[in-house]
Amino acid sequence: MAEPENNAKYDIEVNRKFCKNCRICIQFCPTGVYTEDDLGGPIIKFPEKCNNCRLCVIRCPEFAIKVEPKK
Amino acid sequence: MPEEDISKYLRLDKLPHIWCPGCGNGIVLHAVLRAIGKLQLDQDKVAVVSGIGCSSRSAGYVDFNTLHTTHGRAIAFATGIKLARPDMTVIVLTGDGDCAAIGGNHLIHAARRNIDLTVVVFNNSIYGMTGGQSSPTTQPDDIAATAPYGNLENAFDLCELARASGASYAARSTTFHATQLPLLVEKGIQNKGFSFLDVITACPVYFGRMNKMPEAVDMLKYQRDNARNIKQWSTMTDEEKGGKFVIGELHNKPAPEYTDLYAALRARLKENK
Repeated sequence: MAEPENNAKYDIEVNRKFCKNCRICIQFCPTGVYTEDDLGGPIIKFPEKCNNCRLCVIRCPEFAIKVEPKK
Repeated sequence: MPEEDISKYLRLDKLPHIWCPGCGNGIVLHAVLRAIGKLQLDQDKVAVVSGIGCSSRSAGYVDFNTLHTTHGRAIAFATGIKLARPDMTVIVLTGDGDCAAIGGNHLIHAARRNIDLTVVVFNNSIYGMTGGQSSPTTQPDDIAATAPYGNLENAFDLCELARASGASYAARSTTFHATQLPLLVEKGIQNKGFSFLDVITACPVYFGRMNKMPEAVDMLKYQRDNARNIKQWSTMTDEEKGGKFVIGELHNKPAPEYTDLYAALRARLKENK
């Protein structure tokens, strides 16, 4: 996954081996961090918008998303 | 708000799990693990018991003392564990068909005894593993494989059933309300007595596809739009309640617990000898 240049405060990591493209993270992110790829999987398009609400982490049925403060 | 890391509770080599894309079972399991993490329970002192069904696969993915039992009998096995080892925290993960249909009697009798178990029901209103047959929690007029023109039967209100049978704690939440859910599970585990949690979860592949909600997102939106908080529920008229359901802590009334009573009886008999 390419690391885009940005001033994001949090590292968002989606485990592609676990992700089944259910779109829950994309649709329910309150700030619109994710966009959809051709298969419905998440692209972390705007990581700088993330405010660490962690809704994607707790609503991910696949235990695939990790959000951590940037080191 | 750093969250307790739950990966230590998972058998990561068994993941990704077999559940369908968008299945809510993973969200419920995540919430249960966060509740356990927050209570900082010793992994060796927790027993997770499950029956048969999609939801019952969850026992295979968590790293506690786990038991995958026969259909509907999860609560019966859990009762045995709790009586043999009252020091253990026993959590039952079960589905709506497993708990309310095949194991319905075990549910009401465990509630009647008020034995210290925490039962988390993954309520998706359908038998997902066998092809979408209607279950005891399928609402009237919902479509299922065995009810192609709409379900004629009434649905169980599982929390009400548990409360009426004698459970000391009953709560309901949904997978959409994933922030509220672990708090309720936590209270359920802390409650000394029979704790019952009815979690409305999504089965987009069978329930959703037959009921015009084929995506997981549609099912979560359905939960968001139809769940009503207990405070709001008490002010609603019967007309407004139609098609909606109440979430939150519905019943919390501590009562004497079965293993305590049993230990007291043993002590008393020993003294009298």
